[in-house]
Amino acid sequence: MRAFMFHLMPWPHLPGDFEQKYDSAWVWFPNSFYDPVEGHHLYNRYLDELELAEPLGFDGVCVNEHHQNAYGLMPSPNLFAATLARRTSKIKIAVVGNALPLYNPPTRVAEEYAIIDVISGGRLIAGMVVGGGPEYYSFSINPTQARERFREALDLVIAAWTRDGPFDWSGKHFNIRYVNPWPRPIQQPHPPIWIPGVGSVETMELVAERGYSYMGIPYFHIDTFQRNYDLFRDTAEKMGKEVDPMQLGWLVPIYVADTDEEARREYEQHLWYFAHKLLKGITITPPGYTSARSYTRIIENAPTFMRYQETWDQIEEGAYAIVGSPETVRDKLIDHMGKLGAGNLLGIFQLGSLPHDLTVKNMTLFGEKVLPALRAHFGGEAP
Amino acid sequence: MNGIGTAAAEVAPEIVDVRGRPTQVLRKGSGDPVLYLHSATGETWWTDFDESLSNDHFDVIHPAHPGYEGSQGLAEIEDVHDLAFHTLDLLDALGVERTAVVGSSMGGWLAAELAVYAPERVTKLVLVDAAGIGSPSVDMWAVKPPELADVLFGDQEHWLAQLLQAIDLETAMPPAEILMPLLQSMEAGARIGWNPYMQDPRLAGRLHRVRAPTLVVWGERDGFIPRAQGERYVELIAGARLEVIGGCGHLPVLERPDALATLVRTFLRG
Repeated sequence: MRAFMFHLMPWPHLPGDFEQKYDSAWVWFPNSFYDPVEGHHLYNRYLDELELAEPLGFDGVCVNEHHQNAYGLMPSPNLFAATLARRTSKIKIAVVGNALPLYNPPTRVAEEYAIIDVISGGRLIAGMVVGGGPEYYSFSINPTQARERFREALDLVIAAWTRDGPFDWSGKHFNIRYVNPWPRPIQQPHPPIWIPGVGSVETMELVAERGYSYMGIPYFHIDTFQRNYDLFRDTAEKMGKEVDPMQLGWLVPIYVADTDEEARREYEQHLWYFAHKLLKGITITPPGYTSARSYTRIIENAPTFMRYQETWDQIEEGAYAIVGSPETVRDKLIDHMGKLGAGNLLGIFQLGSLPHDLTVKNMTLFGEKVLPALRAHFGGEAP
Repeated sequence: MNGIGTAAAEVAPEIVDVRGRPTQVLRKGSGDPVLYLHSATGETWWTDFDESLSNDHFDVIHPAHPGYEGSQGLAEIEDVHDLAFHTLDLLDALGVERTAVVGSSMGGWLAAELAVYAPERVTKLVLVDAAGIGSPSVDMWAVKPPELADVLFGDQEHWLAQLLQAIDLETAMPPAEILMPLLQSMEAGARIGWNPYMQDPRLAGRLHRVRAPTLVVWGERDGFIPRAQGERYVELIAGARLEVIGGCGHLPVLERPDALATLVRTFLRG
């Protein structure tokens, strides 16, 4: 198994009356609430937390891309990955991912990922994502073309890495006369690719066929992950492919303290800040972004979305977050990862308004008391 | 095949093959042809407006745009220009050489594009609260349905206003038989009008090519597309004039079909 420190870099200072006054922490939530001086402090604090993953024995760090929101302040994850490439020396740097349809031309992604891969000495994991619904509002990219643009951009980026340049790309959405990016990635034929999915078989087929890795969409009941991963394995099996646990990633908030009681006491308010404030508006689905049938399925699943949970029992029962003493967290993670068959644990160790000291304590306890037990159980060694 | 509305009369849909795209067409009446181009809302059923004109010696042709109701082939339509050529191909498939064209909202925008691309085929042009030369006042794909009802309708008692007023995206979704056509309409409309938002920045510079006598009709209480955009159409199309329907919102074809039919009938006969 491998454990990653996934940071969202949230804005932890939403006003107390946010839930009454605002419909969303996304797209339209006024950026006058962003304070750049506090932002200076936060970015450096959050990067410190990511960098701490290496001495604590984590296998890697994860950053991701979202725009115009208070949930996650990394509109350009590659900038963060680039500084992490310099400030770490052993761990994987997973960017999950670049929202391909938002890049024009997408060869920009091939270039920037190659830079990170080369600087880091081949430690990049290259996530390729369609982008969330809110991104199509923020960028005004036509959501009815999202999937098609994603597929073409993905093929273009892979071609840019694997075909000798210069070559011509004449596609439906992108036309580039000279594809010939310098630098090329150090990992050959290209860095590992991770692709998240919301449960569509089409995405699973793409991932399975090409041997990429699949991540389930987070913040749903554990049963949703289970269904999707089982479906992924079935889909791969039908194509004659066997799924390695390292091809599956489970994204989940984690909090470790000395005892179960202390963990809940220290963590609960920050979890609700995340669930009820930062997740508000994340699920906005622009027309055509998913098929009408998928959309109705999303509506049916909506009650199991973390944002709509109200009690701690619901959080525990659905494994929306794994919280407790080192023993409790260890046992729950072993149980869930075993059932899910997921080899990559993408832990969110700083959630919502969780302050720096508790984040560091959390990561430290995890690194010292939980991670070794997971490695002993599933196999794996510190990088 | 009524979408979310109630048909004014039983008119069997015909599926016309438009260069490989199965296209739903409702057609009734005899006399000079009138092509009705529907709005993004997706009024793909036989409306009271259709019925009124077809009963009064017009051959009313009411297609559903690709992606709406029984019409397929949305994947081949990337923007309003593709939709305009599709509509010309449809006229070819129907053997209709020249026709009057009435378009509502997004359909009005389409009608204007059609009259720019093929001025010789449009005998008369009626633009009803037409999109195309400016953006609507609110984001139709972002506002809550009740807020959309507020800007779309002069009469909030109208059945569609009531339907929208009752929707809460988090707690009160409509039943599947309403939701599915609504989602289908939203997707097909977004394909055309997502960006630029319900307009073609180059249309204004091309409207001098319109040759047909043109009537611009606007709902007095259209809060969705400001009447100034109707006035702009009148400025840009030679000889065009504006008629306002009192008390009516953005969709006269649904809210005041008789008043609209009277205006259109008088104009087409004139």
